[in-house]
Amino acid sequence: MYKLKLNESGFWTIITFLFSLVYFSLWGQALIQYQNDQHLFLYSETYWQQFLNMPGGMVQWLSAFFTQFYYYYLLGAIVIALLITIVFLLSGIVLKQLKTPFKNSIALILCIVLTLLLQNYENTLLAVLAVIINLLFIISWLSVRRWGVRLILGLLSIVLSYYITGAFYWVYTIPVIAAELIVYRDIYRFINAVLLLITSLSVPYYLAIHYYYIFIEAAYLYPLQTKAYTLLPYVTALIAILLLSIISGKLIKGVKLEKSHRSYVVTFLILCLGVIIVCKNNNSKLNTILKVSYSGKHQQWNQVLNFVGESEVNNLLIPYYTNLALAHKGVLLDQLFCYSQKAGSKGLYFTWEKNQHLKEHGGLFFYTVGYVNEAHHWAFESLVQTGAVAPVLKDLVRYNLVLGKTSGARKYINVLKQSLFYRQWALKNEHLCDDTEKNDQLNWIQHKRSQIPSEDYFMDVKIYEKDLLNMVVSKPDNKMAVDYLAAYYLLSNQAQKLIDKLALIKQHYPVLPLAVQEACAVYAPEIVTDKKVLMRYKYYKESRRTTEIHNADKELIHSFWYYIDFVCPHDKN
Amino acid sequence: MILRTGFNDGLFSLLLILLIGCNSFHESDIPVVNRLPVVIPDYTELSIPPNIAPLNFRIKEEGDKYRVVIRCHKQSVVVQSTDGNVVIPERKWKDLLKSAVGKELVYTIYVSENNKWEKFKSYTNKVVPEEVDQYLFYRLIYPGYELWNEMGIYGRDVTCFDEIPLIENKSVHNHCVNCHSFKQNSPDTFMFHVRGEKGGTIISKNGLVNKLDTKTQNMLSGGVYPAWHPNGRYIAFSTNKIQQFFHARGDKFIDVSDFASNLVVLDTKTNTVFSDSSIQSAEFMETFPDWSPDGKYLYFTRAEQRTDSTQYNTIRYNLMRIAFDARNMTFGELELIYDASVQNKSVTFPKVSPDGKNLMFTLSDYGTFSIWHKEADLFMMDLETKKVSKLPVNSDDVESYHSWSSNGKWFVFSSKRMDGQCARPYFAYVNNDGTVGKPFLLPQKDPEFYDSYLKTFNIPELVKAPFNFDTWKLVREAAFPAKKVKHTTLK
Repeated sequence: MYKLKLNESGFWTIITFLFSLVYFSLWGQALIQYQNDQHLFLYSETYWQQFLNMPGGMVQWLSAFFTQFYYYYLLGAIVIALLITIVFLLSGIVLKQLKTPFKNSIALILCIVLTLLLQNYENTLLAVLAVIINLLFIISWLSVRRWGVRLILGLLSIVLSYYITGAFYWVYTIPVIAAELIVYRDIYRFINAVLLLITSLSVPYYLAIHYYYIFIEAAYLYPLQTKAYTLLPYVTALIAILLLSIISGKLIKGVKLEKSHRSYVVTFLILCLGVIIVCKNNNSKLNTILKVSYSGKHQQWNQVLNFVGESEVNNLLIPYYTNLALAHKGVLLDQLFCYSQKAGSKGLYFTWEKNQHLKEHGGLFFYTVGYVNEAHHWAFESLVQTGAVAPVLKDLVRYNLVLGKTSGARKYINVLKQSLFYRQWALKNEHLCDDTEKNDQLNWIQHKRSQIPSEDYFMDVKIYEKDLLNMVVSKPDNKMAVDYLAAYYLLSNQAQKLIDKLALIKQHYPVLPLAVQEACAVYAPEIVTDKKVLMRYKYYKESRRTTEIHNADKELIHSFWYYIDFVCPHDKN
Repeated sequence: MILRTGFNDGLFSLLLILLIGCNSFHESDIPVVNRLPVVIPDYTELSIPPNIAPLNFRIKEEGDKYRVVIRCHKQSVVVQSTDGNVVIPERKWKDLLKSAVGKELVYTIYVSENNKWEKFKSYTNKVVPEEVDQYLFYRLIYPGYELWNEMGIYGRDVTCFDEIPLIENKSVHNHCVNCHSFKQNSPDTFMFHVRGEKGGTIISKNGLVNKLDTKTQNMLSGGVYPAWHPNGRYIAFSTNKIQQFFHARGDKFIDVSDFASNLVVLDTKTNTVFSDSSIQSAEFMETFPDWSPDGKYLYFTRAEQRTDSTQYNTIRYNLMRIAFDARNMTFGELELIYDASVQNKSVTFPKVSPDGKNLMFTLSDYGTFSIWHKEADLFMMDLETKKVSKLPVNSDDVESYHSWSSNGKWFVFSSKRMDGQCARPYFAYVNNDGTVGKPFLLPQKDPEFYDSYLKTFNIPELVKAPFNFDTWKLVREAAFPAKKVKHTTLK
């Protein structure tokens, strides 16, 4: 029987890969899906060129390239695991060249830092790839000994590293300058170190003025300063680890712990520490938000309600998608209070805020209630703000088709055709841009067009009640708009206005929905048709007098009355 | 894509023989399709300048092999393709154009499907002697509503496919950059605005860059739409109070309307602004200035001041002009040049031709934001006879911003005819008799470029060569606070 022989590095390489794979497969799904929705890699020259006008553009392009595989989240997990394993292997080579003790342990710490970094949902593969590229530069620099060659290679690598990875070039330059001073013994090491330092400081300055035309401070930080400096502490940690490795390689020279069992123990302890840190940092609330918003964006309404469940996450995306899910399932006015409505009427929609990054979500409300022009507005602004990504492009295709703007839809389809994983979707839907008459016969287009207001007027956008009222006046048969208007009155504690609109609601409901009946039980009991509602209200009033109400059965807690008394954030009428 | 070229009849014949030998291509046996082939962009039957970049295009005919022969007298270029994309080699194209000045290029397109070739009816491009200005400056921006992210003002060398940035907003803390304007197509004297914090108007004159805050107490806003006086000292600006509206339904997504507007003139020598009651009145809204080439008249558009009861779609602008004495900085008589409101139309973007004989403008149903008006079309006025004619370059979709080439023989204009949302720059030739030729789209290296390009080409302005400006000067100046301009009273 063949006996597999593994050395220590091989063993820890496999462990690193498996650990990353298992971790991102089991807990990384929401993050991977979120990232997939935030990026779209295109196989086109125009796409490639847009990365070249800033330092580190190439690594950003590479990051987008690898992120395209997140389309299948398991494939995404494999990609992440492979890249982290490559970091482990390359850092192992660097540390071996530096004769650093505990090389596997240090390499593992690097990988743990990168895993932590990737846990932040805003962080892409950018840092991991930049570290890989810079480790390759360090390896090539360490492989030469003669000072002249060392210097030329060092200087060239600084320029290349800066061009490819931007401010991540510090991951290369700082350890290399330190290694030059500590590892080498020749007299030239001081000249080399000074020249390397001058070059590393002057390259961004020169390129900022003559090539990139950006402010000097931006040249030293880009793309690290993006996403509110979330990358900066991690990159600093990475540099510090490499720096310490170089110093320790020099100071603890000759200690051969690699082959001893103690090395296994140290590495194992670090791995355990990593597992604890990584698991502790795993944010279940954030995961819920990501899962709900992903399912909502992709209109998987059952999934939305499953993920929301009993969660009490304070984020507007949760009630927004919950209410959209209920509306699409036709039970908004029946089950409105079965889910947390702490946000009140603000959980129904997003108000227009110029700098708020919710445009990709907000348009769905308008589309749902028949304001397709406004949905297009939000989707397009999202495209401007976050770039051309697949969910937004698909929305724009849909909106343009509904509005009969087939040439507009075709343009977005043409973009999607340049991607690997959305190409099929684009090809499948391309024919919709050719035959406008055929489009007119499609049920979903017909249905949506029937919801669009009959007359033109200007949207208010800030006072949604006004927009919904305009819609129901223009299109009284638009059930979604009626549902949302009723929900707005219920949640904003304006039940009297709801009672005034009962005739409109009755057009769509032979029997008034539960939440409406519960409101009627308070303000117009004579309208209530379900006697059980009146009985429950009576029971509620009695329970309310006692302190038992919060422990009452769910039916009472999930009621309009409980919402108004204990949850509603709006002023009581 | 395979490219083959030949340079005289002999070579061309040899090439055809080779092709025949390789691909059973018998010219005489090929059936002729008695119609023009569908090519995108439509580059058929054009007048083109002798310095334009290769007009690369896509053949939209079913087939698996494509062959294009572009011929002029003894010279020819042959391009072969398997996907219908025709990318003409730049050097060969330039040589061909050089020899074709004053003559016609004849395009013959062959398409093969299952080894059966068909030849389409040939079409021509006339190469006129007058060149178009070498650079086309435009702002690339998403044609959105109010947000922006990446944007920049770029200069495209129309003789090739190079594009240079004049300024990108990454250089100015991602603020909006807009309203670039060049003095009479000059590469040396130009301006643009940087909006937001630390914003201002960047003015560059012969390499000297200045950043001014053009807003004074007496003005509605800082300078908006600019126009350089031919002497390079003055810039006329509109100052506007603008609001956006979003349509609940219909073809238009948004409308933009002025609540008030005036005109002022900036003296770049003294950094002062001045105006006149004729162009800064409470009864009217004045906007879109443009100077006559001799600098004696300021053209602009004007509508009655709106009130609370004014419907946005009833605001209509007429074309006006006012005499100006540059030496004494005084304004003279005000004239109504074109009364568009009586026809329920509204004038935007008046632009006087470099010879001062014609004035081109955009006419739409109402308001100032013709870039979102499908009905917006280009018109030309003979300034001597005041006769107005609709230009044959218009389409069913938006035609709006336009600018003249320095020789007055070419103009460029924005049109949204491709997809209804993104403006694309089209060139058109003005014949000696004043008639205008068929427009053609700014060529791109990739014939499919426009199919998926999501940004709009905003404010296309033609500029003469050479353009050697150091962008860093602009970036550096943009970092400093803007100098405040003063308001001065006219004598």
